[in-house]
Amino acid sequence: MIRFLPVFLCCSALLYGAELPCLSPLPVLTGKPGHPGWKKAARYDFPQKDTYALIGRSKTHLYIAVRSSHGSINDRIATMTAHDSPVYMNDCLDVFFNTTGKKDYYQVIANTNGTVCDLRTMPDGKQDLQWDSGAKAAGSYGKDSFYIELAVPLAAFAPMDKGFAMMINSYQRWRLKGVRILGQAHRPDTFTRFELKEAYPVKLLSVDAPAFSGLRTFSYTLENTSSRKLSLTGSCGGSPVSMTLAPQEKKILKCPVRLDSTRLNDVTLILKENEQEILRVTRLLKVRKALEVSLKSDIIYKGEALPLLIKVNEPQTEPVLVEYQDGKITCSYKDEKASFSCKTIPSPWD
Amino acid sequence: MKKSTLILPLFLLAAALSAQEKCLMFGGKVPANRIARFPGFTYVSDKDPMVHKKSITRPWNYSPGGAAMSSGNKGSLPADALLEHGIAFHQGGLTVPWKGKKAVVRLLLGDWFQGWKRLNKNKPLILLAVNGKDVIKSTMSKENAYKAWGKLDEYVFSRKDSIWDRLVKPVLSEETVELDNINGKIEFKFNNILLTAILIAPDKAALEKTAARVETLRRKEFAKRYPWQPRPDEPMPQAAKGKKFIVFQKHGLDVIYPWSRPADKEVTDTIKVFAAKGEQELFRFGILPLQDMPELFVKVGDFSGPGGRISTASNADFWRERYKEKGSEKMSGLITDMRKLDPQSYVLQENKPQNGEKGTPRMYTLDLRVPDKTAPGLYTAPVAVYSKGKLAGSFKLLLKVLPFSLQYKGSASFNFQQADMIPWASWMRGYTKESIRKELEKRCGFIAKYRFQNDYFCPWGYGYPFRYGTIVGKPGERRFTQTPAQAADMDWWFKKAAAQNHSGACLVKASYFMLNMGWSHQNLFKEIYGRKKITPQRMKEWDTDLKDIERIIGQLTKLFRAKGYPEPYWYYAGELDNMGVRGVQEGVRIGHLIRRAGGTSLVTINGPLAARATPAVYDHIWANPAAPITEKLVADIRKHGHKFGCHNCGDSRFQAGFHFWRLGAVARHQETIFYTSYTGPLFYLPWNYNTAQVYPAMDGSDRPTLNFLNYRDGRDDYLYLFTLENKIKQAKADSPACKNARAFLAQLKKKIHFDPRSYHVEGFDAEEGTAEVNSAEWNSMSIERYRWHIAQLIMALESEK
Repeated sequence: MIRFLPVFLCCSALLYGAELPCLSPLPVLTGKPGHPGWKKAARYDFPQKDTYALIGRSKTHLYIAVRSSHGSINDRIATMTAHDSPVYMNDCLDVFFNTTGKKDYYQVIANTNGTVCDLRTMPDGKQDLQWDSGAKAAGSYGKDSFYIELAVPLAAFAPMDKGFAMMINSYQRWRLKGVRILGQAHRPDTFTRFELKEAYPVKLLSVDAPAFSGLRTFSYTLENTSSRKLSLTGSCGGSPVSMTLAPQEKKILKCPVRLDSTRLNDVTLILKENEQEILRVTRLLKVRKALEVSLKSDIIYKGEALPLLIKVNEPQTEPVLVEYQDGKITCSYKDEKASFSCKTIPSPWD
Repeated sequence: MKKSTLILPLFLLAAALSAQEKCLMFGGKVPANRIARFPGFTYVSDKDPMVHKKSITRPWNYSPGGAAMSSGNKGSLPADALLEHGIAFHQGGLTVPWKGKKAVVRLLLGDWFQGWKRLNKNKPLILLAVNGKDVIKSTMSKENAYKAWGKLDEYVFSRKDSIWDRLVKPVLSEETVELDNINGKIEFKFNNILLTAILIAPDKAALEKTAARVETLRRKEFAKRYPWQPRPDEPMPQAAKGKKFIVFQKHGLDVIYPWSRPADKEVTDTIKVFAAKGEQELFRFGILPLQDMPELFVKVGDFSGPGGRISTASNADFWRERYKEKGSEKMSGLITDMRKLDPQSYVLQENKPQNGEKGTPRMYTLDLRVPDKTAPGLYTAPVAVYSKGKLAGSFKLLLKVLPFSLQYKGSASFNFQQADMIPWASWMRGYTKESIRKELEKRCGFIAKYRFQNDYFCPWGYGYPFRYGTIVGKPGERRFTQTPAQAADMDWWFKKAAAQNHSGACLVKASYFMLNMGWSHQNLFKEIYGRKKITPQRMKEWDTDLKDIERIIGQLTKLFRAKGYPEPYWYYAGELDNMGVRGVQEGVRIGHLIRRAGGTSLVTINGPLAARATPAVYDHIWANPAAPITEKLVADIRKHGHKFGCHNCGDSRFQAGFHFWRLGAVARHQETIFYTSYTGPLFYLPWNYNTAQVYPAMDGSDRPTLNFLNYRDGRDDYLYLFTLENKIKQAKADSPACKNARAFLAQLKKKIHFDPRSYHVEGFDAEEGTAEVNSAEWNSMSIERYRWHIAQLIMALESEK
């Protein structure tokens, strides 16, 4: 028996990680260090002077703040402002998560503008930028440092086995280098494990997200991975939802949501069991208009038909109306409109 | 009979048959997880005991990711596992044990990535011998290298051929040899052979059976990896009814697929084009056979009009278009979107008879150079269509020559990086100083033919068989010297070959120029890029080198000016953001150094660090969209009295034309246009890096593609606007024509977004400057109408004079 003891100890170190402190009061993301909510957070130092991470959790979120000294503050780079833009090309905080114990992992990357790029890397290396964590971020530059804080919903990963593994990279663009703690980037086998008391028994198998504006339906394929019946309540796109899932049952949940083509739509499904959040699916998506019109040329020859390309992105129930007067074109369909100006000139062959 | 007693003899029979056959696949000695297994094949590495010990080999194994162009063993996922590895035998052999007295052997030769570029051109024998029998024996030469590279040049696209037959089968060639009196082994001898697989069977029937099984499996694997399907045919125009074929007009930017059909209004018997005097303009038309038209051939006569005759033979190139799958324009060469495998008509070939297949449009392009002194007016040229030598129909081309010329003087320089300067096949054994000179002059001539500039063309560096000088002296005291012969070489390049530039400048890549003169100094930027640790000792050496570089640049600048060469723009390092702030800091140091030496400095930038640091330091700052290019950046550059240019801002007509005008840059450098040498192994295949817009002809000369002509027409769009701006300057400010023209330009400025990124459909490759451009607003129709509107404004200003 003694012979096997070292092996046993080694395995247990891999299987059981630290628990994260529960933060109270909860940190408010101000983008600046010093909020009292971070007081109870666990501190991890990076192998770089005055660079550290604070980590803690609430019932629903994981909180991470990184203060990083910056070796050349005049060369700070924080150019990205759009969600899922290449934030990793800026000074940034890059957090890697693994919840399956396999080769796949999630990444949440944020810069000092509070811009987030989140993605999932599949076991075969393919990246899915459509995956959204629902994380919020804020940050700022100091005299010789930068500071970024993140709140990531735990249920966005639906962690299995009451835990997850994580590593953190603090990257400085000017020297094309980062410093890291808790493991190596893109290597889930090296990430550090953290324990969770809660179980997350619902697995998201797929999301079918609409591509066009108007009242549309999201379809979520869900699976109960536990051996008990689940009675779930929550919300989807702000509207209440409820469902039951028998043990091991797979079910499709359909949610009607109104989508707008002029902005980034935030559609979040939250499912709770007895008030505990067990699944959160966020999709930040831009959709196209139900009526898409383009004018191939805004200069046309006399007598030439208007070069309009009209596409209705749904089973058409009404005609598209086109008005043309004094060089102004208006196309209407339901409550959507597209307008253009057009100039007529004599053809070279008149 | 019991089941088990039946199965046993069948198993034994199968075992006996397989013992009589061998299927071998080849590659490097790599970990097992890097070997892609093909069913029924044994993997043989270059270290296998069957491979002769003294063999000189270069094995390859596919690894996903990375760039196809850099190493040649990456790029698109090979069509099947067989193509994922191979061995280039420069010299050597293989011994395969064989029990029977007879055998039929089939060798599958070639590779997915590089082809002949893997071979040893210094020992040009190509030999494949099996048991003493020569199967292939030839010598590598420039001529057959082009033939190997352009293997599918004679192929005329047919919709009857499957995608596998068109795009996978040509990768490997097959050689079959029958052997008698085998004495226990089969001996293979190889010189310059790209070995992918060998099949051996006791007789021909067995071999064909095995080969058929292998091909079936390969086709299946390919279909799984590349599930491409053609699109359905577009609706046929009404005008097609009752005809044997229809003629229709298209513009250069219109993308034609085998399933494309013209709109009714495009079906015509008169192809109409307008052009300024001296302008190069293309007539593009298609013939859609509605029944098979064997040996379809089209002949264009001369133009005739108010100014007499315009000979097409001396003023035009008439091209037959070929379909080719565009492939990926990313450096990786990866094809992730199956639509990149849609055949598009854009490769230009010599006009020869072709198969006029029912339902497949056959496109033609006449690229006309309107003589400078042509009288304005309408000119027509007859076009005859033949099938099997008999006249099948006719139509005409109508040219409207406008009463003005485009203004080239003072316009921006459009130039290219020449990558390998001349195609790799030019360097086949037997090349001489004279042959390389001719190749360079030919390339310069090609660029000049289309009125582009070769001022970014730097034929020096490794291997060039002429020197422009010698750098002598100890570190810290190095200086430039020149013999009369070197001076003559320098005169040849800067006074003759490169003298066709109207920019009056030439870019000089300083480190390569000095390498040409015998000083191969360590370039610190390479170390920074490679994240190497830079020791204090190394920095000391670099500081000394910089003093020498400054002295030599000073000497050379004086020499260039004294001799009346184009003004040298000294370029030491570019795309500085790739190297982080350390690279930018060194870049700034070099900028100051060139200024101290009295030279004109140039830098290319592709990120925010250099965008902040270089405007005050360099005379010319050429930026790419990742810089990013904003009005603020351009204002910063101009504030210091410096010049803004575009570097890798895209290779489309809109980017080269209307958008380039909007940016107001003095130069437009596009790196990728001549990246022909990266299109391996066969440039007609789409599997690797595909940005080149110029392909080699089988005689080694350059041949434009339709995309190149579109790029040229983009440059001419810019020239229409440049000409209009200049006419405005010469006109009376308060004349109606002048006011109209001004109002139009102001409106156009408003319409076109400044930041190039706003037109990108997909992710932009900061290093290569490639991205697909949205064509909803700027397309063949709008560009043609805008051009005509600009032409009208120019003519109105002219008529006021």
